[in-house]
Amino acid sequence: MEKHKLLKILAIAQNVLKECIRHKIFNILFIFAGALIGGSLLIEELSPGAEGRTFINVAYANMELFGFLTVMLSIFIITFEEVEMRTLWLTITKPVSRTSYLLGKFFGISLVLLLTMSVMFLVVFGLTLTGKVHLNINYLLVPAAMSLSLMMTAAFTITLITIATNLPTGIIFSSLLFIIGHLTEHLKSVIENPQTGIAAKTALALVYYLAPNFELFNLKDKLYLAGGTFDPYYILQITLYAVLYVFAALYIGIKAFKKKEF
Amino acid sequence: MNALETKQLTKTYISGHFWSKKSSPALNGIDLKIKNKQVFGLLGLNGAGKTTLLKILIGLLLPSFGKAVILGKPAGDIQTRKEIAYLPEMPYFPRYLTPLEILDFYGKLYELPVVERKKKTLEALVKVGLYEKRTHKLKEFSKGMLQKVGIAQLLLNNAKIYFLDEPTYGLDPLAAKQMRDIILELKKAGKTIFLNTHQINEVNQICDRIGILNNGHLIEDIEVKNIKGSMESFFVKRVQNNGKA
Amino acid sequence: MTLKTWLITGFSLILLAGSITLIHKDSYYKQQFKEFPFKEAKKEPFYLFLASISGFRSLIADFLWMDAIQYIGDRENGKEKYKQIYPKAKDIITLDPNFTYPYIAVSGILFFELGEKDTAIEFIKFGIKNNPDYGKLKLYLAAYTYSKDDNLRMTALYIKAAIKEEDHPPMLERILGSIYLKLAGKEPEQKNFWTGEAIKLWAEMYEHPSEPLNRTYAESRLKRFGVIK
Repeated sequence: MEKHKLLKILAIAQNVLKECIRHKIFNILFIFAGALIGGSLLIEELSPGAEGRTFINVAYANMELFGFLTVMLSIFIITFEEVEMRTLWLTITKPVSRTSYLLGKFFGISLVLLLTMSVMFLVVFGLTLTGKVHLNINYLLVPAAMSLSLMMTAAFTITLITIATNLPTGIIFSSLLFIIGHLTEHLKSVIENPQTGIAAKTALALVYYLAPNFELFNLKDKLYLAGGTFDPYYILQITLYAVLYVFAALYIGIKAFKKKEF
Repeated sequence: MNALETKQLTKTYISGHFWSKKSSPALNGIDLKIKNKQVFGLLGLNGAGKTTLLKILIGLLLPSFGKAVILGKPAGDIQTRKEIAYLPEMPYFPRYLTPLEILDFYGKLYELPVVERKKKTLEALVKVGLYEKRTHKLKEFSKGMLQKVGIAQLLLNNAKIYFLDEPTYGLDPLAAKQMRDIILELKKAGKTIFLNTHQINEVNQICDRIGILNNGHLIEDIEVKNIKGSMESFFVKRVQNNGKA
Repeated sequence: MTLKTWLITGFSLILLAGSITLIHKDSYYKQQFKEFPFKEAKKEPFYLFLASISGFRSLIADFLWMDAIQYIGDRENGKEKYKQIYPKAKDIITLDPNFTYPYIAVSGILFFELGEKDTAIEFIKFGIKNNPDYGKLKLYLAAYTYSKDDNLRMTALYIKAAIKEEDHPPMLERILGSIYLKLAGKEPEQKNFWTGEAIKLWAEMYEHPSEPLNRTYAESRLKRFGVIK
């Protein structure tokens, strides 16, 4: 039985966080993200009548894009060091279980993501003080849901990289899964269409239920539903969905990682 | 009591596609017993299976057949890992951390209390001569300096068994001597050491016993004091004759 | 490559290819917006597909709106009577039915500038259907309906209410001025009152223009009526 499991997981997460945020690529990413979010102010000038809306949309798009890049880059950096530079050897020969290691890695990457998202949101928040957008709780829930979906992305990317034999394959596959995750609503409508054949329906239903449903988390496209504040019950549901998805993905990842040889 | 024991330990690597799988045997029925406080040197040519054996013992690889027991528990057991220390052939560390941070991290994994962790970390850094560079990022370190950080992490947990894979690899002569001195100190302190090396003079100076691996077979297992003539000629003869004297 | 790599790559490609093929045939948007004349939209559904897979529907609607603004701003397009503006607007609201500004701005152009009154009313009604809580659209619908029935007093009343809202199209102020003048012509006994209303409006437009064009427009009007020299 492993002792001080939580402390070890936290130590690994802390290491991942430090390693990522000190990395040069991250500094460049941060500057780009800041510049592009700031640039949203210029873009909104081109959209008379919809200035505030355009600013927020461009800013959120940047947040999602850089959030996604943050997750992928962190996983790439950490896994590259682990496997290609063999930093993993020294760590997993210490008294730490592979379960704790993978959980620590996931939490570390989630911390990097949350830090990046918070900084970007603060920049957006600061810029909205210029007055064209009147922020309410919805504007905070959008990046929160975004972060949840990106944490799901982190979980299945870590799992895929663990299962896949090489790093690029894992990264490419999880990027594709990220795209497919946005198609789930379309899949549903095709499944519900009476003209779709049984075989296609079954296959699509399988994809629909297995692929992560990122459209559920896409609150930024639902922000302008007039008169709407997001239903807290809906937020709770998607949070639960994310937790379950992360749990399932990491469970498979841990199973694979335990059998992995180095 | 034996510190380490293997029974019929076999490892076969599988590669290729499912329609054309290739299996290449790396270890073949290794039976080995290393007593407590013994310094064992494992010799062999490149590709003989030395690293594979070491990796199984520390839990990085799983055996295909047979078993390996360390301090009475199967190899890879988490609690047993508290009692072992490992130095890979060329240790690498996260590039943007400092020696202080990485040693503190390993200390946490060894479940050392805060005060003891800080103390041991600093002591280890002083011992390997990296105290001055303790807050520099590891990406700035040369191969030799990284090897020293690797040595420092060996000293954190007061282990019972030390697994050392080419410990003097990449070190300048002075640092190599320093490394040998550290191993001798460990020996003096009654630690069990499993040394994987190419350096025959190192084996001569340090080991009580040697094993020779050739093509995955343990062709020799002998006390150093029983070797007649030079170690080098003994090794060459055994390997050329595949174990026969 | 090992079996796992093959399987993973193959599975992902099949998944993506299958999804793309299906989405092309698919009826998601047609189902979602089946009451709207989707086929008349200028852009191909691929545009919508792209917007949707990226998860940036609102953002792409914004970009399309910028494109529409450029189109309106280019006087060259006046030659073809801005005939592309309606299809462009439909693309936008197909992507984001809750993007309210195009309903207001484009219906105004359709109604007052291009004389396509029925289309404008149909468009604003579609907007109301999708955004039932957004009161301003009802204001505009009322203005259009009264105007269509030649009830200029009621039209003026509703447009006056509409321009008090922060995000009204600046064009609407110019239109209100014209309606006041029409009322002055239609009701000779009230001529001074309606002309006075028009002058008050232009003075406000001159003092606090919501866009530079409004100031120039108001200036020329005020000069014509001898209010300023």
